[in-house]
Amino acid sequence: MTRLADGDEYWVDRVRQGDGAALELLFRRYVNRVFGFAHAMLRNREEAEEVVTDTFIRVFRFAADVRGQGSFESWLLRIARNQCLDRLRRPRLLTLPLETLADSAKLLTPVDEMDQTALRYLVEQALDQLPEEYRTALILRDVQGFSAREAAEVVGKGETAFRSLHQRARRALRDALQAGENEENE
Amino acid sequence: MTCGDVKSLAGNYLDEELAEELHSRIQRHLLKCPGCAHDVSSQSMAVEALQSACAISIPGEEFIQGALDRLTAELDLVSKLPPTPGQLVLGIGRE
Repeated sequence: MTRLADGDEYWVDRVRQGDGAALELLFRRYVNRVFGFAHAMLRNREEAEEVVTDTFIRVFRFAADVRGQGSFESWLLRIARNQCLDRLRRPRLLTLPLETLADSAKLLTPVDEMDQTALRYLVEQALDQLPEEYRTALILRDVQGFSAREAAEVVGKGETAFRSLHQRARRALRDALQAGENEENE
Repeated sequence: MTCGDVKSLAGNYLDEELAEELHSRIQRHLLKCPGCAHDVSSQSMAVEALQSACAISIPGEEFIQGALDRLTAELDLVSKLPPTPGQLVLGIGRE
């Protein structure tokens, strides 16, 4: 039996034995988390959907070889993350809302007073400047609400190392946002 | 409580993971240290901006159905197992 640290291993084995209903159960249980992560990483709905499908296919094709620890969800997200990285390495079309460039938001302006499109643009610009590891940590922890332990599993680090990484990521995001604001003010 | 202590605990403070006493001590430090207060509040605003800009999106039902069809085909799953004892024929399997 595939060894996972949660109650999903029964259903994973059912899928491996050909049970389509078990696949649907697991897919519906986790599709929002995987899609949300991929969409935040890639900022493209179609690509995020492709990542979701490819991730589940890989998971069940290789389920028999898994001997790792951790939850099914963190296993899924590890694979989704790798799928996203592959796509981010390819040349991609610019999909940012360029029309907002002229009035990009100010970091020190309260968020509820900022134009949402301008805010999104400013944040996307800042995220693009961060190492992928930082982006992943911020999306898992601050956007998707994973606990530090869960997020650590996804990125393959211990919890203490992940907390340190996440702290550096927050400060780097803050600095990038402030730099973006200063650039707009010049 | 030193500035170094606050710097190392800022993340736990923002995530409200600290015991009440430690949380209060950091708050008292922030009230009298503009440098640390700026560090913590600017991080908080950055996280708020991130959360506001990256609202969680969910996939549509049309995508979910299409993906399930593709997965079923690619993985050669056509519910080929007979129902196990105690399993509903039309429902999700039960242990």
